Amino acid sequence: MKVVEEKNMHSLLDIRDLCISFERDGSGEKYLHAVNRISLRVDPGEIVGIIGQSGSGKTTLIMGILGLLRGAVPGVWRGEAFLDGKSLLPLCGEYAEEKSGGKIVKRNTPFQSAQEKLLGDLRGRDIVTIFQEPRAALDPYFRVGEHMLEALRRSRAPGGETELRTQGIELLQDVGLVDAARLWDLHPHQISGGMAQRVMIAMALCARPKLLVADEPSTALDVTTQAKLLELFRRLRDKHGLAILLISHDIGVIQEISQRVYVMRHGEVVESGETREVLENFQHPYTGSLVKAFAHFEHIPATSIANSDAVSLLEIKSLRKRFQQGDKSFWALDDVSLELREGETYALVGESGSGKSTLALSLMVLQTVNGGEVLYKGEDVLKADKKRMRALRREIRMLFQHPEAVLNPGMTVGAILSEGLEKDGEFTRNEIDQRISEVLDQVHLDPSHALRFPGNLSTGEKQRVTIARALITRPKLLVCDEPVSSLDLAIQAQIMELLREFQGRLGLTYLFISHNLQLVKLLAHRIGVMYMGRLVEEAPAGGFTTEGARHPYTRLLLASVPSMGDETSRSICAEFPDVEPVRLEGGCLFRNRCPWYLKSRNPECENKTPPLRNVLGGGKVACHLAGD
Amino acid sequence: MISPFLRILGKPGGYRMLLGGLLVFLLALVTITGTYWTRFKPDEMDFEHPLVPPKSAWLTRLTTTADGRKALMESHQNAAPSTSSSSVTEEGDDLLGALKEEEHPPTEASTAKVEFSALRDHGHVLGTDKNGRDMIALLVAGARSCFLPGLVACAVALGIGVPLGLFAGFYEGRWRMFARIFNGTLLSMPRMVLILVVICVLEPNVYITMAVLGATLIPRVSELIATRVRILSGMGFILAAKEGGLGDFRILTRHLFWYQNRAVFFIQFSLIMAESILTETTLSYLQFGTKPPDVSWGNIIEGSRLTFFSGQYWITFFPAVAIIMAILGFFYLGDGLNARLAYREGR
Amino acid sequence: MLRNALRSLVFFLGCLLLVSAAIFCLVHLTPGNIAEIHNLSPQTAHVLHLDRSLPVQYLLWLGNCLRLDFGISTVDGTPVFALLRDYAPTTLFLTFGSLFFSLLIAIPIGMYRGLKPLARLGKALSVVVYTLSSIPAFVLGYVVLAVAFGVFHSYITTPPEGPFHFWKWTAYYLPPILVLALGNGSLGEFVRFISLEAQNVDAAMFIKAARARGVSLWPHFLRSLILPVFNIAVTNIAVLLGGLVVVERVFNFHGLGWLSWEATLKRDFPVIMGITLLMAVVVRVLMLLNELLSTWIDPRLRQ
Repeated sequence: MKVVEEKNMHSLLDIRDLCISFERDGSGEKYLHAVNRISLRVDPGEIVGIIGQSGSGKTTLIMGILGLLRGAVPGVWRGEAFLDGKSLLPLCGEYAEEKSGGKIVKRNTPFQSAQEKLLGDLRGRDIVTIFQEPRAALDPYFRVGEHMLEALRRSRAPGGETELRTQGIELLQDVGLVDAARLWDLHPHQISGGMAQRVMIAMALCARPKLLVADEPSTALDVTTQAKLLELFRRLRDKHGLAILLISHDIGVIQEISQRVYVMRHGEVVESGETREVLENFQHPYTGSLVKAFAHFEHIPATSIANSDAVSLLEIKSLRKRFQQGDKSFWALDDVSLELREGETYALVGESGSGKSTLALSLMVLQTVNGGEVLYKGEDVLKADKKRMRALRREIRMLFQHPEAVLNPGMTVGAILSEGLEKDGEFTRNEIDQRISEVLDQVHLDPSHALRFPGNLSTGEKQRVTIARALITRPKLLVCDEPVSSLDLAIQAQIMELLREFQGRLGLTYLFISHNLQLVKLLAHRIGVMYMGRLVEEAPAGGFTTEGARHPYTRLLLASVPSMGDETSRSICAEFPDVEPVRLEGGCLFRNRCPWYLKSRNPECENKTPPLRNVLGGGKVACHLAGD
Repeated sequence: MISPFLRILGKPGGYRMLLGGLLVFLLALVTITGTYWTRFKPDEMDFEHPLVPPKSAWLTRLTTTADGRKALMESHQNAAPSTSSSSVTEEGDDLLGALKEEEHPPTEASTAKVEFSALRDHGHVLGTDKNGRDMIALLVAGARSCFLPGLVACAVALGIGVPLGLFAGFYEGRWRMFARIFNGTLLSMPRMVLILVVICVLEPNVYITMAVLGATLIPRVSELIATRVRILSGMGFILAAKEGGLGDFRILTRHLFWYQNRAVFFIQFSLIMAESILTETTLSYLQFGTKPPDVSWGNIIEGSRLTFFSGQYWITFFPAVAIIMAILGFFYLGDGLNARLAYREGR
Repeated sequence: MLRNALRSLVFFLGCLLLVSAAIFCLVHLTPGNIAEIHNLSPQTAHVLHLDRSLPVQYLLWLGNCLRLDFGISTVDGTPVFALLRDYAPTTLFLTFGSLFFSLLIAIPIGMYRGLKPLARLGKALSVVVYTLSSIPAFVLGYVVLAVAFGVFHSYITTPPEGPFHFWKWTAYYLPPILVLALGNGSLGEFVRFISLEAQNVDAAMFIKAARARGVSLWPHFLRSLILPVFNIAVTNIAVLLGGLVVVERVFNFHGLGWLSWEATLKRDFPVIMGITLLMAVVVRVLMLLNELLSTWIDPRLRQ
């Protein structure tokens, strides 16, 4: 034991054999081991990653040692944790007893007031935390400046308000917020998520901390913002010698930035070591499933690559939708035209707010539009009457992002499925029951699932039920709005496989909407890129690479995808200015972020909306400066 | 037999549900059986025993003041002129003492005590009011005015409030605007004052006033439902149901009402019942509800104003307890159900 | 912000117009003409414009109301405005006094209940509060009176005269204020709402983040709770005003509640219409203030 301690003398954060268990249903009998015998260490100036799926206990671990676990359920703790040699857990009362007695000590409030005080002294000074939803983590009633002042006062920074303000603005500029002085007087709802996360980091830096704990810092952010954020982390480590403990479910993020990694599953660390080493020569099958979730997709080519002479199934012609937001209004869909051929998968990608989902809802006639046509087999869906619409709704179905939100918790799976058939009274009860067991079988669920309630199903099963719900009317076209992004990686792969299987067997056509570029590349035949309500590029899946992309935005998107220290991607990212996406008026909407425009200052980009024109290789692009 | 009840106790809001359910059950039982089983009938006036205190000594002590007991004794002395007045004033200072002592065999020395002990043989367990009507009979008869008027209020509040809430939550825009203005107008007038206006204009009638009460509860019900529906609409399954080709009517009735809001419906039903008992008794107390020949707990209390101020509380006390029990019964039932719903929905 | 304020103002005026129209229709469209009920002579009916068409009568009445002329009492001919002026102060005092007391009780209990949902004391207190507020105000009034008689052997039934004397005033005004504050449903509503609101703020991400930064949480709590508390207080004014009818009757206080009770007994239409209109104006003005304050304080509503 002594030897181990000496070896870890210089560790900044040192967790040994930590267990955190919760009582289940207050009976005191069964324990849920949220964190089970975890040992972890972070050295100064090091970026360490913890990867695991949701529910693997990674957040519980870190919130536990910070004393931030709050809730109704009493917990049981054992193990040790040190920050810079200072013990974190002995701060809690009965801990010593537990060590000597060797038995589990039950404590109703893990951190009682006295301990809370001691730990409260460490929090925000030596150890700082940033969270997943940066905008929600800022108090809506406090201005950015007030947040900064609060953090500076907390760090015992000397000086009056003006001096603190100068310091604060410097810190904000340090994390890449250029016009910090303007930002100072804004409220959190007026800034974007990326900016809010930077403000959080600036607040964290006030106290010159030793360790930054980042709990899924980029999950809620767009991929381009994420790339900039990771770059910032790297810079902070190099400049301030800050150690960062990064928690994420995204293997790409971990791969990109962390030196060492811990793989967590069911509250246990299954594998740890140098990131490159672990991910390349993994020992544990679970790590394998994370690394290679989509591996077998790469070997099987997408089914029956649609010929260019295939019949057009759905045609969207200059669709427009205007959104009113307070006093301002903007085009959520601005003259979008695209075409889907029978049997192909057309993917739409873009950051949040680009209008992907608006497009899906508009063509499903789930919201009104301000102009344009949606032709399904030559018939305008938007003009269909009620009766015709019902028939059309059977042929065009949709998959939604959150299966749990789609399934009415009060209905059985059978009732949910039969609803699609019952409404016209065409089928007898027997036929419906038969069809239900048929589709359940198709999505690899047992027919007995028909009697269960959605609350008793796992997320993967729920998404299968939503697929079955769509399939039951034998559709031709399936609009998938981020169907897998709320699922765990392994389940994502299963669902994707299922979707691909149906395309082969049932000849379905997919309009696949996603922000996950890697996923899209595996499944789609053609890919469209949207930016601020416009389609800026359309390319066959083969040409969707940083080299092949014509539009600068597509290049930025592709280069921002986290990849293991790929220098070319990083240098491409560096070309782009670090500015927030803003909605511009007129001309090319991307020009404020476009390195080509910023270099050439082409007046055409300011005045003329770039048309979508054909380029070599079968793609289309909407850019004045892109070559053919 | 008992185990299902015990299982309820373990759940959130279980105690409240069980207690409330029990009280409501009792109230229903009393309402249904009516005055068949009572020894006296509510319209029966026992002129021999007007204003006699409850039989049990401690209940009498609880529901009278010293002054009240004195006054009571004097009035009985006047009613029974055969008793020698001097001995009464000397020895019968405290009626309670008299009632206690009369457990011992009466002696000649305390004629007055014997006279009062005769009061114990009247058979009115909870005493009588100033007309000699039996308290138990009155209480049982008063229970009748709890359920039926309440149902009228529920019918109006839920019958209009629920559809309005569903529409206002489901269709934004005009329906929402309409609901806002409608509710805003109703909420501008204090409930009791609005009811008084209606009573002033029309002849006082329990069912009309209960309908007005129901109307004043529409804003609460409709806003509750509308908020829930608005949240649910954003959750996806309403969008999914539309996508599945379901008509608005079916989405509203089946998904939004039956599967998502029926619990709210029953909770509100229970709470409105409590509210209506409160209002009915209050109005009867203000002389605008049930009129004196008919019995309501509220008008018993109103009728007891004089005796109350002279220190004889029991005529006020028992109906008050009954009112509190009835209201708490429905209130706890609704509140317990609400806690259970909140727990289920993970709030 | 200006737009929101303007919208609130339009809503305010619209509601009041509807209220006045509703009261007017209620009184004038019901069977039994006012003139008949009170056996007015044709001349008097003419003076009161009772022989004109309804819309004209309404406009005339509304115009008079705007000039603070609510007509005259059909019972003794006193101008309604004079009655309102004489009776309103007591009512205002009772309303705001009881609002103050119930907030004084509800805020600590609600906060405690919301921030420490498992504490036994909080649970017990909230049960007491909920039970109290489901008891009818007149029953609670009798309880207070019984205590006053039983313990203090007296209760002052006439308003204290002469110069301000603290104990005399307290003895006279405190019982009804307490009854109104504790019973009448609003206390339970306050506790329930405040505890829910405190719970929501406590669970909010920004509180967790503030905790992780180690800064004091109170500024964050307070700023987030000011608006909801003000909000619930204002929305409950109408409930308190309604409760006054009962409380003033029990304690024999001569305020608007008592006046409305008496007017109803004597079927004095102008008086009851005047009272309702006055109360609606008070409620609406407070609601308007609430909306304006919200748009002013909450940065999310400000733009």
